Amino acid sequence: MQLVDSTNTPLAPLKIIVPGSYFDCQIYRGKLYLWTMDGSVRVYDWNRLINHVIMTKFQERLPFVFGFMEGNFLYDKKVSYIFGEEGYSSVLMKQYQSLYNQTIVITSEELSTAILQELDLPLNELPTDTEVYANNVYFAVDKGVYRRVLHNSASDPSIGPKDTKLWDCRILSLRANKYPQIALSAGSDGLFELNLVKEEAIRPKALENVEETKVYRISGKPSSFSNYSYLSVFSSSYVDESFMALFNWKPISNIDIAKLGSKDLKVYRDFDAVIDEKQIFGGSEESDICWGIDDKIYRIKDNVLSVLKFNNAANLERGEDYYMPLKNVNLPNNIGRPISAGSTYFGIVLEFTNGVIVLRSDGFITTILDEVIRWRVYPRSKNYLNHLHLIYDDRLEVYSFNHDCLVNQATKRIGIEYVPDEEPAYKSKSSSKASLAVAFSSDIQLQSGDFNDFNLDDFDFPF
Amino acid sequence: MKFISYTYTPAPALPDVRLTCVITRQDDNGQDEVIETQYQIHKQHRDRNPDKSQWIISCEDEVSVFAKTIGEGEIVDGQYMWGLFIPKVKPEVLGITDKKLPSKIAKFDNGIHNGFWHGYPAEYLNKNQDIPPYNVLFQWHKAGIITTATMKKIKGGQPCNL
Repeated sequence: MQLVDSTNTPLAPLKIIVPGSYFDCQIYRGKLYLWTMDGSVRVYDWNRLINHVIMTKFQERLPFVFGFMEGNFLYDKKVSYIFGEEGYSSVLMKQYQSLYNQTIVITSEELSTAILQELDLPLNELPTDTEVYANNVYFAVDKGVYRRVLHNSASDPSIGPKDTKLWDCRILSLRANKYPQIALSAGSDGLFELNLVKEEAIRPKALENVEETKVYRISGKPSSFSNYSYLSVFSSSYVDESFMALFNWKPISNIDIAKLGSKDLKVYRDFDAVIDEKQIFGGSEESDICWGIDDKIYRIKDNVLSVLKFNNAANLERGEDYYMPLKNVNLPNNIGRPISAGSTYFGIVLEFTNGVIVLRSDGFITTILDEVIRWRVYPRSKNYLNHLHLIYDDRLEVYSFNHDCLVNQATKRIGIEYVPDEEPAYKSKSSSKASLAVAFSSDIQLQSGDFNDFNLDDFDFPF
Repeated sequence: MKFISYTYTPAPALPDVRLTCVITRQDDNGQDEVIETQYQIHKQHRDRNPDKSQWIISCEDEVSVFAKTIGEGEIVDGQYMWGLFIPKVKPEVLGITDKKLPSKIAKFDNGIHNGFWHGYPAEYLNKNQDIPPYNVLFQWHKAGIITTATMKKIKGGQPCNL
C-alpha cells in the first residue's frame, strides 16, 4: 500500500492499521464492529483502543482525540481558538505532521484486549451492506433485509441474538437518515424506503407500501446505491440514469392530527416527484457517475466534476430553485471512470479498481493505492464524521481527515457543508446561513474551498 | 465436487439443437459420479438480438462452460447455475450484455418447464436475478478464482475487476 499526497497539507490525514481479514466494518458509539472473513462478527471497544493502546505509545494526544474519537470537536468554535493562537496552532500542526509520517498499527494482541463480543455471522452470510442506526444494525443478505438490536444500554455492548426479517427483497445498498427512514437500493427492482415512523398518520401518503411491510416503493428506476439529501433521496445507477426522489414537508390533516393525539406535529414528510439527473443538471449527456448527499449533488463526466447545491426547502413561488449550479471543478487528467463514489464533510471518495482517491475539501488529493474490498465514511455520525475506513485483504485502515474545519463551509464545493447540530439543517443548510453561524475566531484564515482545480504538483496519476 | 470430463452428442454443437451431455465429476470422498443431462444453445443469444445478451465464445466453449459448471457447482433454487469461462488462468469475457457491456459470468437455467438447460451471459450489473448467489460467489472465492474485493462487488451489483 502506498499513500500519495499531492503536497504537504496543514492538517495531514492520520491512519491506524488494524490487521486481519474483514468484509465489513461499522463504528458506532465507541464500538468498532468487524465482519470477519472467518465467519464471525467482532465488537471492539474503540475508545479503549485509542486511549489505552494507541495513545500510550505517543506523546501527542489531541490529534488522536480529535482524529479518531471526537471528530466533530474540530468544528467547535471554542476549539477554533486553538487554531487562532499561533503558539498552540503551530504545536498542533507539528503533531499532525509528525504522526502523518508514522505507521500506527494495532497488533492482534492489542486488539484482543479490547474485544467486547464475538458472535457467529448472522444467517451464515457475509453481508452485501450494513447500516447502524438508532441502536440497531440493519444488514442486507441475498434473502432480504434484516435487523439485529444492538446494546440495550450503555453498559451492555452486545449485539442481540435475534435476526428480524424486514423484507425479503435482495437489496444492494442501504443508507439511513434521521427522520427515521432507510433508503433501500434494490438494483433493477428500483428504489425503496423502509419507513420506521411508528404512527400511520405521518407515513407517506403519496407512496404505496409493499404488501404488509413498512417498505415503500419510491421508483421502479434502477438503483445501485443511494443516500439522503435531507428529506429527499438521491439514487445512483451504474447502468441507467441517476435520479432524485424529492420529498418535502406536508401539512398534517386535521383528521390525522386528531389521530396523533397529544403529539404536537404539524407537518409530515411525503414524496413529491422523481427528478432525473438530466433534468437536474440539464443537457442530454450520460454521466460517468452521479451521486448526492445532503447539500451537494455531483456528476463526473470525463475529467470534469459538476457540482450542484441542493436546497430541499426551496420556495418555488418566490422563484427559488431546488438546484443551484456551482462552478465545475477540473479533475486530474486521465482520472478514469470510478466504480463507486461518495461524499462526506472532508471531501469526495472515488473508488477505482486499483485504489481510492480522496478529493479533499481543501483542494488537495490523497491517493491510496491497492484494490479495496470496501470503503466507508460516516457522515451521519458525530464522532466519526472525519473517518474513512478502507478494508483490504489483510487489514482495516482507519483514516482520519482533519483539514475540513479550516475550510470555509459556506463557499466550499467539495464535500458536505458542516452545520452545527443546533441548526435545523433541512431548513437552512442550503442557503449557508447556518454555516455562517460556525463562527470561527476572526484570527483564523479559513481556506475558501472555492477552487477550480485540485492541487497537483506534476503529480503522476496512478490509475 | 471436482469436474473430471464431459462428452456431448451430436457434435458439432449448433444453435437450437438439443445436446445430450455426459459429465463425470468426483465427490468429496473421491467417488466418480456420472450425470447425463440435456443442453440447448439458444439462437437468440447468438443472433445479435439487441434485447438479449450475446455469447462471443464458440458454441463448443459455451457447452464446456456449462459442463464444468454442472461438474463443480450446485443448482440454486432448483433451477439455476452460474459459471465462468476460464480457458487459461483467469475468467475471460464470454459475452456481451444487452447494455453492450462485457460479461464474464454465464447463467444457466434448467428450464423447469421444458426439461433441458440453456444458458446466456449474465448481466449482473443490470439485473438482480443475474447476480450469482452468495454460496456461488463464496465457492469461487474459496477456489481462489475471485478476490474478496470482487466477491463483494459482484454481490453488491457493482463494477469490478473480474
